[in-house]
Amino acid sequence: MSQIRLSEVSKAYYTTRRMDDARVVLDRVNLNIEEGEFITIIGPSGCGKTTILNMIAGFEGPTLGKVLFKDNEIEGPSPERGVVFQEFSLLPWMSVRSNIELALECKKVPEKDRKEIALKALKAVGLENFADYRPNLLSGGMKQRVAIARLLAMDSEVFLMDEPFSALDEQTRTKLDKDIVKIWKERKKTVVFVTHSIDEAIQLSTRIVLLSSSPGKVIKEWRLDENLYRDPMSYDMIKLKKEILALMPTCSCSN
Amino acid sequence: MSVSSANDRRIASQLAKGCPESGHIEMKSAFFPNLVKTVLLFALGIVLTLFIWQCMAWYCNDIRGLAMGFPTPAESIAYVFDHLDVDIYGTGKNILEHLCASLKRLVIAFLLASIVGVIIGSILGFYSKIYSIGIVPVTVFQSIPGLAWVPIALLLFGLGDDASIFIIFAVSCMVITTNVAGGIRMVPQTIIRAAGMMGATPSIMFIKVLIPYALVSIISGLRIGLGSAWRVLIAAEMLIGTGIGLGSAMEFLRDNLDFVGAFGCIVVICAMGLFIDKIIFSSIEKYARHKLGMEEGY
Repeated sequence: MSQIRLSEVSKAYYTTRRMDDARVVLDRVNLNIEEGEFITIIGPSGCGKTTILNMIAGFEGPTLGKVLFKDNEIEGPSPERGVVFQEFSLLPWMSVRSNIELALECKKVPEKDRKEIALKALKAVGLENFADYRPNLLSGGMKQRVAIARLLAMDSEVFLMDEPFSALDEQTRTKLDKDIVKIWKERKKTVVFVTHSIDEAIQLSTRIVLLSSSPGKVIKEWRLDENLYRDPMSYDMIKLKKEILALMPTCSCSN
Repeated sequence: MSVSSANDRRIASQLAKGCPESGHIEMKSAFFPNLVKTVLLFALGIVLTLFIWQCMAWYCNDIRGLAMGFPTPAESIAYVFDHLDVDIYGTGKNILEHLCASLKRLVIAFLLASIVGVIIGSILGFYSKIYSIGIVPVTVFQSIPGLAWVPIALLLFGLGDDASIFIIFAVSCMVITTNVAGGIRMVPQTIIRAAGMMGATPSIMFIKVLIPYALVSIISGLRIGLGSAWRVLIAAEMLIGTGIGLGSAMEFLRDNLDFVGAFGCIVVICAMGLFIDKIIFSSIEKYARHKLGMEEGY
C-alpha cells in the first residue's frame, strides 16, 4: 500500500470566463509514493507540478481519477500533509513562535506544551533566538525556515513543498536544501518537493519524476540511492542532468 | 538640487563622523519634534480653513453689502463660548447640552450599526455562496441617501428620537457591512490554505486568521461609517424635530434668523467631527496597521 497514490488523475481548468474552453493540465497521471521517499517533481512551467501538490494537499480535487492518502480519498487539507508554500504564508501580526503555536492549537495540543514544542522546532531550523520576532523583520530564507519549523512542530507525516526556495538567493537556497535533506534523514518523513531546478532535484531526492508540458504526463522517473554522494560536478551527476535536460520539454505552455 | 531627503540630511551629520562598527547609528529620539511639527502643520490647516471662511464673510458683507451680515469666524466662535452655559434662546438648553444629545444618538446608533455590520459583514465575507445573494440588499440599502430614509423611519418609529437613531443606523450599517465583507474576502488564498493545512476549525480560522487580517479594512469601514453617521445625524435631527440636539438647535436658530447662532452650531459640529475622525480614528487605524505588521521594518 503506497502512502500517497494518484490513480489515473486528470485535471483541467477553464481558460475563459464563458467557460467554453478548458485546458487539460494533467492527463491520466499515475504516481505511487511510498512512505519515507524524498520525491521531486520537475518539469517546465505550467506542466501541472503545483497542481499535483495541491491535490495531495487537499486544496484541489482531480477532474477525473482519484488521489488517495493511505488508501482513502483525500477530502481536504489536513495537518497530516503539511505544506510549505512558495509564497510566504506566516500570519504577519503574530510572532514566529505564535505562528507555530497556532498550528499546535489547531492540533489541540495542551497549552502548557505548546511553547516547548514550538521552541524545539525553531531550534531544529536554527531560529530559536528569533522566536519573538515578527515575520516582517525576517529575511526570506528565515521566513521559509519558520514555515518548515511549523511542519516539524505539527509533526506532519508528509511534507509537501511547492518550490519553497525559488524566491531566495543561491546561497540561502543551497543551505536550506542541505537542511531539508538533514531533516528528512533524521525524521524519516515523506517529502514531495516541487521545483523547476534540475540541480535542486539531483541534490535532494531519492526519486525524480519528470512531467511533460500540458497535458502533463509522466515522461520518466529516476531513482537515486539516498547514500549516493551528490557532487554536482561529478561525472555521474552531470550525466544525469544532461539526461534530464534532453528529455525536458523545451517550451512552456504559452502558445 | 539634491535628491536626498530630510531623513538623509538628519542622519548625514552623524554618519559624516564615520560609520560605527556595529552598523547602527544612535540618535536622539525625534518623537517630540515630529509631534510638534504635525500639530503645527495641522494648526496651519485650521488657520487656512478659517481664512477661507473669513473671505466668504468679507465677500458677502463688504463687497455685496448683505444686510443680514455673513457671520465671521470671530463672531461665531464667540457665540459658542458665550452659550456654553447660557441657553440658546427658545430651545431651553445650552450648546453643551445640545452637543451631548446629538452625541448620545450618534453613539447608540453607531454602536448598533457596528455590531450588526460586523456580524453580517463577517457572514457575507466568509460564505461566498451567501455573499452573492446577501450583498444585493446591502448595496440597495446603501444607495439610499441618508435623508431618503426619513419617510421610512417615520413610518417605522413615528416622530422622535428612535426615528433619528434609525436613520443614522441605516446609513452607517451598510457601509460597515460592505467593508467588513470586502476585507474578509481579500484575505489571500495562501493564508487561507495555510490555516487549512494546519487543521484550523472554522472558528479558529475566523477568529484568529480572518478577522485580524481584515482588521484594517474593518477599522477603515468603521471610520467611513462614522463619518456618514455624523453627517446624516444633523440633517436627521433637523427633519424629525427632536427638540434637542445640534441639528434641531440649528433649525430653530435659522427659523429665527439668528445666523450667528446657526454658524456657531456649525463650528461645534465641525470641531466634533474633526476630533472624532482625525484624533480618535486615525490613531486607531495607525495602531492597528502597526500591530498587524502591515508596515515593513519597524
